[in-house]
Amino acid sequence: MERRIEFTLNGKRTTCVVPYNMTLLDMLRTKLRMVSVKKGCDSGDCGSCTVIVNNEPICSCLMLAVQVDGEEILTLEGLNRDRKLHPLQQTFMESHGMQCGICTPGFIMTSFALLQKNPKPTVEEIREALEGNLCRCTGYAQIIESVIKASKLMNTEV
Amino acid sequence: MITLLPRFEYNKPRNLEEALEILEKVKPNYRVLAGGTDLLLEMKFKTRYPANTIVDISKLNELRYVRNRDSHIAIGSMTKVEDLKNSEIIKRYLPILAEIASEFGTWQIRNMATIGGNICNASSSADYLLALLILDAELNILSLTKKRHIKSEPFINEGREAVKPGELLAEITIPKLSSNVGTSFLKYEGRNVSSIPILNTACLLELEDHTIKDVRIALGAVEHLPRRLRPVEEKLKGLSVRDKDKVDKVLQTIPSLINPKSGVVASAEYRRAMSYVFVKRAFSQALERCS
Amino acid sequence: MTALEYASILDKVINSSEYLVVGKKVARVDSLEKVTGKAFYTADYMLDNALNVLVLRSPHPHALIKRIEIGETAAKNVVITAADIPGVNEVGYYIPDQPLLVDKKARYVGDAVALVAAQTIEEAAKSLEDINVEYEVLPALLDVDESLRSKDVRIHEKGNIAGVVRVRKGDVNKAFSEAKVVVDNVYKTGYQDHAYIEPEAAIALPEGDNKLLVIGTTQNPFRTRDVVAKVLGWNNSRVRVVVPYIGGGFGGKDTMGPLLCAMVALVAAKTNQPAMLEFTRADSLKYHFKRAPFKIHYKTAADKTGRLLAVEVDYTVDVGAYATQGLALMRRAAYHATGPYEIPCVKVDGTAVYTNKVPIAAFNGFGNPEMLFAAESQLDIVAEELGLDPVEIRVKNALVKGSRTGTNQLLDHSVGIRELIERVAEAANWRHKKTLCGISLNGKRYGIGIGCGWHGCGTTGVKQDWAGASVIINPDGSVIYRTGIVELGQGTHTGHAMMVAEVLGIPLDWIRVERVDTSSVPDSGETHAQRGIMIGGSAAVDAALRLRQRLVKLAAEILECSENDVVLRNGRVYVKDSQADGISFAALAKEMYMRGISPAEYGFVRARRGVPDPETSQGEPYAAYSFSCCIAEVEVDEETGTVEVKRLYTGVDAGRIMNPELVRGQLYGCAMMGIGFALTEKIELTKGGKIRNKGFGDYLILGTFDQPVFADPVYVEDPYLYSGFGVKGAGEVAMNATPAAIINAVKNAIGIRTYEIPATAEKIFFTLKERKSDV
Repeated sequence: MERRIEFTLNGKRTTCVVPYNMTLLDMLRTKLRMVSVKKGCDSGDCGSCTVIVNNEPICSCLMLAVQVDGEEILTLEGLNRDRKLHPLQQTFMESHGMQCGICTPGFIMTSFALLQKNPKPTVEEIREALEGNLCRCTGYAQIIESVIKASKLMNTEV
Repeated sequence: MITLLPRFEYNKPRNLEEALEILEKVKPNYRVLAGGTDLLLEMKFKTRYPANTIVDISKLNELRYVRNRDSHIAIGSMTKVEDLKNSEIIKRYLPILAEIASEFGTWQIRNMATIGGNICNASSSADYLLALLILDAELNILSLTKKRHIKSEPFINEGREAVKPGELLAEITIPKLSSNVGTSFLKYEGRNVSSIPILNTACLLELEDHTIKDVRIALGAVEHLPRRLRPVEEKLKGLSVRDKDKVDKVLQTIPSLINPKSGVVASAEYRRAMSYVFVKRAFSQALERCS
Repeated sequence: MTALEYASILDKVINSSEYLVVGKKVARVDSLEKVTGKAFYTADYMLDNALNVLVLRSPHPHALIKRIEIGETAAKNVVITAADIPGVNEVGYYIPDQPLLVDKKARYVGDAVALVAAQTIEEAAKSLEDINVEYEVLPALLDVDESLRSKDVRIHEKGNIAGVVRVRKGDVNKAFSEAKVVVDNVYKTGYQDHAYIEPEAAIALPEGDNKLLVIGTTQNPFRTRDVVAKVLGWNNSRVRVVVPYIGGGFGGKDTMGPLLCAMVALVAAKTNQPAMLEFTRADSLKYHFKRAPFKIHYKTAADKTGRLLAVEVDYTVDVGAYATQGLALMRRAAYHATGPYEIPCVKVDGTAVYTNKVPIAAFNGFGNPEMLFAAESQLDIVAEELGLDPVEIRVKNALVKGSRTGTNQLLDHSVGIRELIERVAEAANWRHKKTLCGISLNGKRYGIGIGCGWHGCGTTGVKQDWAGASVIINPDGSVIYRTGIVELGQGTHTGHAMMVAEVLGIPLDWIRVERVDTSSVPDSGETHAQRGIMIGGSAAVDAALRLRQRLVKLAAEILECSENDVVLRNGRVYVKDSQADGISFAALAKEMYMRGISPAEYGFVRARRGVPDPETSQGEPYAAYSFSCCIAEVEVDEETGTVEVKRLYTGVDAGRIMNPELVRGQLYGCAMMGIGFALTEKIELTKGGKIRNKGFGDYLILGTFDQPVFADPVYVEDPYLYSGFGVKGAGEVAMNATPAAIINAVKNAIGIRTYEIPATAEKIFFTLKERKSDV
């Protein structure tokens, strides 16, 4: 009823013994203490459980933990390795891209994935990428501003 | 607190051959895990569950492809919806499949959901079922002992029984559309970001000069299963698209042809009224694309 | 002192033109934690050995409990029913009508009948299924009118009316008889779910045999402590409530917080083991308390110039099974019923009615979005009848300095509404855009509409409004700040820290804001009613000012100058206009310790307000009022009824704006919530009183593609004299103005008005169809 799986989590090789019937979200939170990944709706609608698996943002509440055997996972905890903030983290702070902050990990992860694929997204492209992330506090404007600012930062850094 | 899911046996075949072997062994009490976006919801909310065994084919990449095969396009059943959205081949030859992908869920969902899963789960609003209905699609279904091909309409009519125990939908082949054919897809929801649809509709239109040579209209989310509106199609065939009033009169019969269901997102009466509006719009759009 | 004239004191000590932090767009003090995933919310404090608590709920809207049979499996785990409650099974927020666990009868679908707890979620679920409750189903009252009429069915012992409110001012009958225009309509508003992205949760940890630590999603830690202690039969100090970050409150966690905390506390106290309860989204949507329906009969009288002469309002609030905060909500709506206008004659009658449905909760606006939807719609109708412009009529009637409100409260200062309306209208280019109403753009009709709002800052009710805070200066000059006000996302902790930083003259990042802890500051009341920055922040200023006095006195000694010449700025202490370097704040702090001068201070303030007369509501229910104005531009697809809000202009008078970027976010968030309330958020109930919505797929809060283009907000800063830095609250008032602005815009677009919200596409479609067939 359980399996030992191996995967890369935030750049580190990790093993975990998980029951078959455990979601990726629950494994990340309860077994690996990656609590930045939130359980906002558990049905794939709010995006607060978004993590990057093999460079794609997915809803971890809709995946079984056993499915990530051999995969690469990135959570918010892994975004600022070496203590240096990722530009998105910086701009979300500066541009007030959050209020209560519960949706913030999901927004940052999806935005991160977007900027990897599309370094200079238009506002419409940002909206589309973030369609699956719901926020009840901000009205989205400052979130989008944060992503635009991060994209500008990242494009001048080179 | 941990989310409670039912207990099950779990199998993860390494390739298609192994998958078919396992299905044969564990049938009939299993569910296939493709994208997981429908299956995990069922596990959590116990809508259609239980099953003893889950067969995880989510990493069966040999079924994840879009291939240009001269007269038709072959799509592996494990092709992700996001793949369809971005595929140059699809955008060129079967743009409706990319349009459907653009309206499909959210980016996260598109990265997980598969065309095969959407089709086999056969919900009342399954977007790709609408595509199958209006395109001359053929489905290739494999089991350990045999291969079979089935056309989309008979497949859809069987609903969730279409794929038999031990079988796996492997591929969908769709003939390329000729240039005088226009297609469109519309999805109507209660807000702009993805939510439970009020209705969805797909339309295919082929003209000869200004005369409607062939028209196919599929309507979904309104009734138990998506279906073609054949009586409307029959009346439209042969009409001139310049005869706007005549065309509209035919479309206006749609509300009386359907038996819509009520839901939180829309009442039956609203679905009834909107069916006309959106089929009309889909028709117009397909018409624009005919030239 | 019960009131501190903060403005004058602060002006004496710090020149506002030299503010270093106050009024600046500084980053939130919690932003680093939130962007790195290190901000912990209740569910993140999970413990492997905590018992999983599940709630057994009534499937019936109204039923007697005949018997509760606990099966073998359940008996192996923890089961708690009303009979097992050691203290008092009574948790009503303002009136004692609500048991924590149903004792004699269930009053709505979802009423908590029992708690089960087990080591794993699987066992807890099995236990839940192994309890057999025998119900005697009673007739259910699912409609307010039905409930008022019913002679046989009593939801509560005392009947089906939870409470009433009356406002009486002047002679409305006379005013109506003399009016040129009388407009009389009935308005309805629907349920709204808070839909905070963090569902409710609570954890209780026993500390020894007689103490309990409770961590939970609560907006009122002190009340929560008291409720937990009451239910356990303990004295308050045995219970300690700590509030981590909250993932959105909006009032819902004000009502729900104590309930979940009491539930886990019961389990923890009984078993002496940690216990946790997390609502799933589905549970939260189905069972947590909500904004409740209003039915408002609103009559407005105006003279031929558009001056408002009288309003007569008769309304019901459908509080559901339990009143919770419904009576206060009903009262707030009554006190604000006129809208932010000066109206000489006012007659308001409100009735809170019980029904067998989900109970009412506090929710952003607290009765004002509902009432002002009616009031502001009326104003547009009056304007139309008189051929006046909607902005014009509002400016004409707006409250000004020296006005009296509907409860006859004199507003002698801090009344920025008139200027606000003018400036928002100008920003929106109202004059020109109004002429475009009704034109067709891409097959859709364009409309622009306006709505105004106001919101008294401070708890509605009899209880006085107080708050405490603590400021401790460490020997190295850094500061530990504690408040009883919760950080829900609205930015109170940042606001308070900014105030303390400014008063002490230190950089903002020297201040550590601690988690809210009932064992660390005096009872500070609830985090609601726009009191967090105004009243809570004043306690921070109170503490900081007293410390500053001591610091300045000491500095004067050290620097050998007069106290008036001491400057505390940006971590340094020096003599005004002098060339000398002065000393560091750290050095000054150290010196405090060395000389035995207390480096710590508690602040405690009480808001300046009265208690309205129980019969007429005349009096001063709130210390101060914030004002808002919203102009919305919409496009309506007449074929489908869909309304898209394309642009939105918003503005507030919230006194001094502590952090413009933070408040900007509040305004936009409130606006989105207001759009949802007006157009898309609909709770549907079955005939059996059960909520049909399943989740965010069919309860439609808005997302990135639904966002209108937001203009930069307009701030009219009319400072309030009796709060730290002249701030007033800004967290709810923008919500009050939005729904009417949208519905007025829709009317201006398609010529048809809806009197009921949510005005979903379906509703507008059928309204259009109906009206067309009338013509």
